[in-house]
Amino acid sequence: MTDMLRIARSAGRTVLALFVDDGLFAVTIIGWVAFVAAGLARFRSLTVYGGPLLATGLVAIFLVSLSRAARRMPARRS
Amino acid sequence: MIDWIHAGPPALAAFLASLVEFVEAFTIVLAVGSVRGWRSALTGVAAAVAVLIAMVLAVGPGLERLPLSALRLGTGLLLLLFGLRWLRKSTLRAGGIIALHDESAAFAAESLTLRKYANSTSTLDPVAVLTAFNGVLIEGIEVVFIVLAAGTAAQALLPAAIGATGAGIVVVMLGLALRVPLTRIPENTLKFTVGVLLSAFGTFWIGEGLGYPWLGGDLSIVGLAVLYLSTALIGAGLARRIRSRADSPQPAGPSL
Repeated sequence: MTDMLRIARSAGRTVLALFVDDGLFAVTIIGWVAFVAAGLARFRSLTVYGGPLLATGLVAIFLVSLSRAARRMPARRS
Repeated sequence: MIDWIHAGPPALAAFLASLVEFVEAFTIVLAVGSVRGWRSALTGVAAAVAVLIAMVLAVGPGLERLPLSALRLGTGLLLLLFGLRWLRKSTLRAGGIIALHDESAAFAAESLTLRKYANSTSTLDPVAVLTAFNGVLIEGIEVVFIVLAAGTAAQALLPAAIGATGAGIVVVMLGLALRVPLTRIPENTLKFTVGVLLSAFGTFWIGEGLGYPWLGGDLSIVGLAVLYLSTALIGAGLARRIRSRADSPQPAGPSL
């Protein structure tokens, strides 16, 4: 039972690692998509801006996450 | 008859992404085969391929039965997470923040680990079978995900599968001919390109799944790819500048 649990946990971790290596980055992406979806569901007339709004937010999240990683990661030794 | 104008982008994304994954799997199998023997290495590969085929058969038909908007929203979100993760990592590599992936180093490390175990007396070496199985399964799951996600959302499952199979054939042929880790394949450039493509597909299909109209229809995928490409190029420069500022010695303050 413990072995099965360990294997299942390890398989779950492997699958999760396909999509997430920085938890905050992944959560922010999902949060932004949910925010845009919920916001535009209330204002149907604005759905025409849905795509550009979605993309703009994602680009901003990407750049913020990159600069955060660049500040936090130790210098690479070659 | 396949409409390649519609099916080409997912097929290309599947081909490029699978090329990266097959190169990584090939390095592991080559290390296992040359250190512990080819019979065990190929047994591990065959077992992993059987598991992957079972996964496709179990998941694939179910996906095609889902409503298209829900399928596009779900696979779009997963593709976006997957694509942006690859794009972020390859941008950090391009910006010199993290080291480039080195297939020779991966091969050497894998070979060293395998030599630490005592040689098995049986025909099949369990360490070798498990290592090859694990390596091919982990890289293969990524290939299966990309083919299923990119293929079903764009309703181009066959072209995406053809793209991935083509990549597999290229890597196996090159591997058989050279018998060394495929270090000359520009892995980070491929990951960067695939990251751009999958992020563009993911964003597009999330929008489609939520019912947002895209200017120019399918062509807006090209616009999104250009947006992500330019953002990542700017991001690599930005990361390099931040890093060099952090690494440069701080000027000493006035002494009192």
